Amino acid sequence: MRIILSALLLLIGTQAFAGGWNRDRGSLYVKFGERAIIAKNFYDFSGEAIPIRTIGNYSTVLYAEYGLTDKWDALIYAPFFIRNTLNGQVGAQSGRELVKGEINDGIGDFDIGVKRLLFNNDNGVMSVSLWAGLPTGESDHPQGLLTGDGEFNQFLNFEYGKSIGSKSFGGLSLGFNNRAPGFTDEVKAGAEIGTKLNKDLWIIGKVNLLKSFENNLGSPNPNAQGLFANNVNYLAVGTEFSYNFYQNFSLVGGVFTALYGKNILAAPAFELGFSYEI
Amino acid sequence: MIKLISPLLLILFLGSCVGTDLVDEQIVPEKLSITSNFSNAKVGDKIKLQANFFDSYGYKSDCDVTWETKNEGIVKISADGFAEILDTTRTEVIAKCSGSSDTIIVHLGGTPPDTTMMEPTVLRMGTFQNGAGGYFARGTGDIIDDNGVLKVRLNEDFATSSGPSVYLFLATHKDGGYAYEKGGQVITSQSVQLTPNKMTKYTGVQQFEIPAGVDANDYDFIVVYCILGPVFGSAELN
Repeated sequence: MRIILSALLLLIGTQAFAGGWNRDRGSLYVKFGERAIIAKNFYDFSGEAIPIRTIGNYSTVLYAEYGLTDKWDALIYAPFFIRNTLNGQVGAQSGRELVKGEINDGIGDFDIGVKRLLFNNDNGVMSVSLWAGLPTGESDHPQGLLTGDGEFNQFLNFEYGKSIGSKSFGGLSLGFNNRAPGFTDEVKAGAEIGTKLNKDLWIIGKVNLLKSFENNLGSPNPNAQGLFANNVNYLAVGTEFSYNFYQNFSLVGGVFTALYGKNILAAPAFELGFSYEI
Repeated sequence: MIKLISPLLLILFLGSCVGTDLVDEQIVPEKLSITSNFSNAKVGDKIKLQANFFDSYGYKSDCDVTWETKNEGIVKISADGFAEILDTTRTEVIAKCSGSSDTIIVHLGGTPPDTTMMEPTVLRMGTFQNGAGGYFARGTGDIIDDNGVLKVRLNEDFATSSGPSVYLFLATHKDGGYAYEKGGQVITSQSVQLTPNKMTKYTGVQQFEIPAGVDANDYDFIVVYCILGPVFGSAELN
């Protein structure tokens, strides 16, 4: 399921602020959300969508940003409960159960990181973040329902943002994901534009690209070389919303889908959750 | 916060159950296949008579099999389902069920089996061709007789795409959708699960025993199949 994890991390924005904005010293943003993908098709190596047994991935994720100083933030992405499901198969004519369904629950791969503000002036705001991916998930499962890939990785990401008037913003990002031997390195890029529809509601549109370098295949790793870990490529679009419904609490959600993909589930990803900010 | 989180957890546990996919099935002729082995029988032996009945979807089904022998002076069928060998002369044992039948020739008059370990004999062989979607399988595979044990052998030149849930099958077709069971070896008239668990080696020589009672001549392909859906490759057996 590494494909799902890596895809979701980028597909669905986790940050309180898009672009390069960072937090004030001592301020906290926490988001608790549920993400779901239910896929009946899979983009194979050639980019063609082929039918598969229905796979479900449900991730319960805690994401947090904390302002250590006015320029430094601490970050954590914690998929502390992941449920993967693989549908059983029943003969359409005979009604006989051909294959039993599978389910696997566990924690996912945690990511921790820091973010440093580079500049914030009339030209916009820019920051750089460095994430460390920890192999806290399950990287071996008889049916491939993995919750992690068993590797350490480092993700360096540059983000730029600029306010557009008083109610909108735009942002760009570019990052490099350095993965362990046997896992392909990746470049990630994104663009987004957001606008405040009223005093409580933000709507954000996003485009995200993930391009694999298709390298590091000299050290065979069965988990890395399967359907779910390597040579993942996609171009995805989506939208997110954040609705401040009570004091510091907001309802957040989004949906993303890939316009193009390789070695990735061919289905939209949905997210719904709550955020809290002080 | 608990009040906020609770609905999400409810959605998670109600919405994330395992479902079922419907799979179109091929209609195939019903089939009866004798699995009893008479090859090493001697006069005086009592051999349990066994056969598999496969229904019109290819699945093993219960069926009340009746047994006959062409010559009761050579093989005597008992009421409790055993064949008693009385003579060394050639004869036939016939199983019948639901309009299907199978016959096995019992011939004990030949040379006693040579128990010397011999080099495996190649019975059938094939060359792997790629499956769908950019996945590959290449090299050759055989069905061999390894001193009386039938095996599927993947040869030195074999290689396939790797994956977290790749299994090996004998099959009558290369379209996927084979019945399998984790830790088991499911046999239907359309496929035989050779690997109880996922493959962990994707290149080079490997051997897998064909389950007892399977007639390898009934299957035309060795198939590398990812149980999530795609066939990585198959070798048609000549």
